[in-house]
Amino acid sequence: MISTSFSSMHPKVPGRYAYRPRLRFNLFFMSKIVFFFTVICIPLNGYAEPLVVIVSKKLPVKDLPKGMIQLLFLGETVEATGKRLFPLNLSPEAPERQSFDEKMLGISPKDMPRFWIDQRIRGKNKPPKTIPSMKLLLRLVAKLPGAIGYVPESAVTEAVQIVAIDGKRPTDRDYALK
Amino acid sequence: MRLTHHSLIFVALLTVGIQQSVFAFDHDEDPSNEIELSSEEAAILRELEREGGFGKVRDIPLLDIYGFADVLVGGFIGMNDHVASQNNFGERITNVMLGNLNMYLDANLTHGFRFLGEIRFHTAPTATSEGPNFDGTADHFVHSTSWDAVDGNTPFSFGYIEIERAYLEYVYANWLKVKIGILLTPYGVWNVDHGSPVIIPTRRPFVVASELIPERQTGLEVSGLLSAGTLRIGYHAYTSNGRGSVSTALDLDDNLAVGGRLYIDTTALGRLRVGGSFYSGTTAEERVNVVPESLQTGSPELSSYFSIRNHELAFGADLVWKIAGFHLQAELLSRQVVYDNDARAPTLGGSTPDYHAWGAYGLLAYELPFWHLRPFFLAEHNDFGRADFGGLSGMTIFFIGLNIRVLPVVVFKAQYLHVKLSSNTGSSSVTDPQNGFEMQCSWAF
Repeated sequence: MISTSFSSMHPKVPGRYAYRPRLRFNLFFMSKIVFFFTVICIPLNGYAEPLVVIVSKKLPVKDLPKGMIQLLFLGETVEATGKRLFPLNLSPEAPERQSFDEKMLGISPKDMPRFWIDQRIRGKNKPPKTIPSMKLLLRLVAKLPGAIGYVPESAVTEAVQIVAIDGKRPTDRDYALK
Repeated sequence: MRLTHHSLIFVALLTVGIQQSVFAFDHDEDPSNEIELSSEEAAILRELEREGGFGKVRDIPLLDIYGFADVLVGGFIGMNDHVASQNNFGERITNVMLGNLNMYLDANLTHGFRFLGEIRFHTAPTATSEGPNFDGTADHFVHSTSWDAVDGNTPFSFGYIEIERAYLEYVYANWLKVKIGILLTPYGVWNVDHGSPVIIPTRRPFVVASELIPERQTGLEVSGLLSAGTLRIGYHAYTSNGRGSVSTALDLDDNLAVGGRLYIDTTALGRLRVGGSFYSGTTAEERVNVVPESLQTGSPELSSYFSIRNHELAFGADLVWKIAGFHLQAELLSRQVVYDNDARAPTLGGSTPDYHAWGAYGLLAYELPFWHLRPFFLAEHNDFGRADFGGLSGMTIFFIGLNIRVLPVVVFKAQYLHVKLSSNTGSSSVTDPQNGFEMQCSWAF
């Protein structure tokens, strides 16, 4: 529709210049689409800043295998240094949660409700507790020595510590939550 | 159930372990007060304590109630009279039936204890087939109508409640979990994945429904899962009352059944799980007689004997592979049954011989990248190993259908069935192929 009206302002000239105005317009239009997806959609679907897994400073855990974190957030019981870990999730709408589910658990946000419904009908455990805000999650992780959660690296406070994943820190190139 | 010395030692060790664990938890989990929490945070913290086992037990645990249900429409097309007379589907393609109405009762009791109960509400015995009377006639179908005395004696249909499972679980760690109660037997894929919203066709294959390994047992199970990278190794070991009409409460021949399962699960190439299972036990039915001599004494005495008793050994192998939208699932089951000579199950004009039954199925499904459409194909073969299934010795079934998950909690399914029967007698009236069509709506709540 727009393209048609734009063409009507630039009558077609026979020869090699015939379609140049339409091409210029399309490039401009495409750049707007690219901008839209870059600025609007990427933060919704993939969280740009690396996430980090956090535990209380009182818990002497510095590193956890990725497989263990997966089991934990998929409802299995996991212990570290003799203490049972208790996973805390952010709300399903939070971009951090969506990014964590995709990168750590390999499950897309649209498939996650189905996954947990199926798990419960199979008699498995319930999903991790959802905490309504990141600020509250940080405070609860700090307070409870067995609690484990995830936040963007920039949100980490003094009261919690970052746990390496398979020995990798967030600055490492192949860090699991990058 | 009679406990052996080994069982008693095991239970004693388990009790000591649990007590130590609970004791340690109480002392370790007293959260410091360095951080002041708001009332909202304190409420969430309290909820976490109740759900997850932090802190001390101060409240009655929260009980979750959820479940699933399904309604099925369909039946067999042009079924011959011989088979129809033994089947409650008959030629009624427009059957509408409530399949499952299952409710879960789920509570984390803190400190690693969890209760899970699953009960199924049946409309049965309504519509179960009834045998002919001595005069050769019968109503064919049982109905369970009664009259409601508190509502003007209006008629209503009553049904049954079945306990699918009810157990207490203690999780010491992921590698050691203990369950006691009524348990779904941990074998294969389908026996535990029995909820209609999570299974792909409308019904489980006959090879699973025929219980070559018992569907559920009353006993004790130990299980666990070990992981290393993308590889996980899981195990189940159990002991139970075994099979029998009263096995939820009694082990009539004081001979506990045993079984187990070992499986490997890897995410290296999609999601692949391969497992093997076994079950060994006895089935016994008991009758009592009045001792004739005791009648003369004036105080009759009863003596019991086994009317049926057999020993069985069953094996199973299973595979599930999910990759790039494909779902491949297969199971092979085998059951060898040997009767005591003086306690064989009666049949029309004889008694059941020792037999070896086996069956297998394979399911292939593919989830399309849109609308959660999942076409599927299932083929199964059953060899009954004997001819007391109404003259049938085997059955091969093909399903082809479509599964649509319109919402995470609502699934529609439609499938066409083709059943080929085989007979030891060679009677064509028994072995005419049967075709059916079914649609099902199932939902979780």
